[in-house]
Amino acid sequence: MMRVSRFGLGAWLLSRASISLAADPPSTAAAPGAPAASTAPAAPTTPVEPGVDMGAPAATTAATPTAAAPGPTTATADADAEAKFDAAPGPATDSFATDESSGDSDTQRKLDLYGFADFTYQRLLVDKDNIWNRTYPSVNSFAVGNFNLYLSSNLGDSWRALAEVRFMYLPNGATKPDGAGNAVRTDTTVLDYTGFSEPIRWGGIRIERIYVEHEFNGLLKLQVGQFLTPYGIWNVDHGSPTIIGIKKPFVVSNQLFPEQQVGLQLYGSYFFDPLEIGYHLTLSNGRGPVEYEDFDNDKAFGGRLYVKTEALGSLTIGGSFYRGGYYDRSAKYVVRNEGSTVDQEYATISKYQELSLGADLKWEYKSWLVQGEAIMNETNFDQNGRPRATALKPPQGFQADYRRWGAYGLVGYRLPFVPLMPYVIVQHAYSPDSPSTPPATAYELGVNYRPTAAVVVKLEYTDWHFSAPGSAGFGSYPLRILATQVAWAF
Amino acid sequence: MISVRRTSALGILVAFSSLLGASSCLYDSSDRCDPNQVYNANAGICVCTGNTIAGTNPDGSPGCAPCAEHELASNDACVCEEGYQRPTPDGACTLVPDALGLPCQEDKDCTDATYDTCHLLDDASGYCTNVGCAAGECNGGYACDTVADPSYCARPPEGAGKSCATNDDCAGTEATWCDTFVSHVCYVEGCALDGNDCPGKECCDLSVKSGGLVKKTICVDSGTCNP
Repeated sequence: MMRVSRFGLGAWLLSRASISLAADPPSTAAAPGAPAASTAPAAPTTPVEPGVDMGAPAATTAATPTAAAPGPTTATADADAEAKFDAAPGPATDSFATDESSGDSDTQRKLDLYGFADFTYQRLLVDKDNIWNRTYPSVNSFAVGNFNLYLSSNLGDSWRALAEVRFMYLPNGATKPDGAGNAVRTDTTVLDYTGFSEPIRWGGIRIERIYVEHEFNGLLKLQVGQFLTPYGIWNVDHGSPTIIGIKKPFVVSNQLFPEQQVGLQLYGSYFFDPLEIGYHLTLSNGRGPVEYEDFDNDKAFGGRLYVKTEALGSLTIGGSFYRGGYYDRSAKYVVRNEGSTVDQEYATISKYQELSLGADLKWEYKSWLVQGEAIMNETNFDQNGRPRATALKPPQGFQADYRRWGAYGLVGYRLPFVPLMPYVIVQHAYSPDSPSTPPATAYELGVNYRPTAAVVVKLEYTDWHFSAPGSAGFGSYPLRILATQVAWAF
Repeated sequence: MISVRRTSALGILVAFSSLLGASSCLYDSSDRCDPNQVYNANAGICVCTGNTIAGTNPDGSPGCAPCAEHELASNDACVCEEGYQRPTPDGACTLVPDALGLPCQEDKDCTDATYDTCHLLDDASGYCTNVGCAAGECNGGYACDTVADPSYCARPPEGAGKSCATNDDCAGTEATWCDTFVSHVCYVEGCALDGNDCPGKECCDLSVKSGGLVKKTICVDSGTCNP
């Protein structure tokens, strides 16, 4: 008898590939989150720069006129941003926004709220029979992608706290394949008891990060909680108003490093004039199916080391690594001791060790911005820890050990008389872990326009090229995307 | 006097170097699978070797499961050895009795005490079987046709249950459709939902089960179309 659960595989792969190639919310950032000198003054009292590395030390603000910032801005990586942005907090400003220079008072404990949001419209420039028309998400639709809120507070005596949450329409509308190959859509419609039981839909909240931090000195700052993994550029400075492009590069969205971790982060920096050398060290639960539970008691560790100099524009070169384990399991209750004890029995679903390495460069010189990252991730599955591979056709089998990698490069130039930055992005991704995702190269051309310090309008054209069809055949079809986005800080 | 800052910097440097040093490479392109598996470059996955198929280990973890006695791994499924059949889809492979299915023209050709009835087919050929069965009582992969009167153990269609990777493997038999999704065996296709052209079995509409993806009817064991 044929069981048809396998039919779901195709749809799953469709969703997997389309998501991985396209669906990531445009939550990227090119704004610098450069660490700061230990002698840097406190961050400004004005809420600043949603999306940048909130945890980064407030270093270069030492030379940045932040105190006059009138409100939220979208200050970016442009080193010599237009005069209209001069009043904005520096891009490396620590977003712990309260003034540390004052005493431990009620004023210090005030809660600062700020954030960002974006609105995107995109359409595909492909033939009607192209399968991307049916598998690419949110095509020809207006979409509010990110609505992120920051909550920060100075707790006094070098203690600070930060939280970032994202409000989402999800899970409403999210699709998932069932055993029969149907893409089943989640419907969160409920009847509103506060009115006349009219139907309304509820959404979700995602915790992007939440931690408390203590600064021992400029070289030693400790965060505990959930933090963005300190690697490269794009992952940490992820706010859509602060980044140049609309979508984060595939190599970043594919999470070759885990996007967030729960645990401890030690970081700091030191000046060896004209160089600033900074580091991050992390200890966390690592990647796993549950944020608050480490099934394998195998803690992950990682770090980042960077060198920055202002000798020729602003140049930052960094390297990152991450090493950790992943373990997912199923559990069932079992009765032992002749019925007197209820226990749990585990079965491995997936278990592996992984290593990620990354290198990044960011150079801001006059009106030019150049940045790039190269990232590698490799895994080694435990024996009997290999999950079943999602193969559309025979043979069936298990996920093989893999090494995936990718890179991107961005070059932008801020025009002198209008706050407009044309930019080019080239990226490549190789993902052997997902047979449905063939090796791909994308060429992106766009403009980033800032009518005000807090608003960014972007227009971007992306042309994807695949070097193989992939197991689901996506690579046989061209993918060209025209997207526009308005992002704003508040 | 060593400053705190310098000590901190040294400690950080040592910690950083130690952690990075401990992060040795994990990936070996020549050893990407478990010992009982081999890497299939075309599919990009690890496939089982020997007489095993992709399944689960006794503890529930994913692994290559050995085929049972009288079973052979073929096209991602364990199929019965020659001369063996499953009495039920999930049953063990059992030896097909020698006397069952012998060609005959009339009952007297069937000399076995159990399989003493010659069931004649439309083409005037016949085979020895037994009558008066109930569902699940037939041996050797035969299925009890309870619609017929008297009921009898019906021979499985030629090719049905044969291991296959594509329809080509089923060509030339009565069971011409290969289930390339799960079981990887041949099925008789094109049965009528309101007829009795699946003797001892039932006609199953796959378009219902697949949400319209597979528009086909096939003969399956009774009770397994909508379990």
